[in-house]
Amino acid sequence: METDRNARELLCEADRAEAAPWVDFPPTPAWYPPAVGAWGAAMVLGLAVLDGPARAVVVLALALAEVAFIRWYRRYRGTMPTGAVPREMRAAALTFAGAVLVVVVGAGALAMTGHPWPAAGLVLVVGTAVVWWYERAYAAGAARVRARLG
Amino acid sequence: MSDYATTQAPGWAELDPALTAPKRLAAVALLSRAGDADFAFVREHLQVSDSDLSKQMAALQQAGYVETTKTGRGRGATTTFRLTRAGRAAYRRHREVLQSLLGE
Repeated sequence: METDRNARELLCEADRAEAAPWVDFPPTPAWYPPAVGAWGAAMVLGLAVLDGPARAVVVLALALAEVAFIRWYRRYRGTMPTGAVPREMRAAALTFAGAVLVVVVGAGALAMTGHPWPAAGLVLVVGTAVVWWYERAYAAGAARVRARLG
Repeated sequence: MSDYATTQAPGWAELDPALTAPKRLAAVALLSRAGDADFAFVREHLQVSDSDLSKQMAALQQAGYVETTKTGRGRGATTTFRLTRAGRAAYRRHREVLQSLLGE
């Protein structure tokens, strides 16, 4: 029926539009994964090596840098997706969250047992690799969402 | 841009008149999954001209479904859209009616 076809077309268009904030995004800059790794390593060193006002200053500066980055990224992307992650991207998001947890726990354990520099190295290397992988997995998932929605 | 509700069978009359235009429905659907979105992002997704998008978003704003924020001046100026609570509820209802028309 014409009515059904129109309703289906409208719902398909709404589905594509709902997915847009998740799947329409500019290329991630090449510096992003190592920058995240370096930021994490600096945070580990700031918390584990420094003390007193120096620690407070460094941690505050890193927190402000993160806020500035989020604001810049929001402008660069034109939006920030919210709500449920499209199903094609959920596995990557969960794997990423799990990997971040492992890195944080591992680095925290190293730092608290008197090995802050190896902890920072772990965050720099593994954190960079995890973010690099996630960016590719995210893009692949977004491509699958676009293919499904047409 | 066609306005389906005026030409269709019973049931379509339950649709929200502000959302029956496909481009306005798409704009609201997009904003339902974003904290907010820039003018350029919405325009590129909808593939419409600046003036057409302005017209569609003005209609949604008049219905109380979208808030518009303008920041900066000149070339650096940015217009941002955000769905209101009323807009979110209207979109949800509109989707439900469309789905009911399909027996989903």
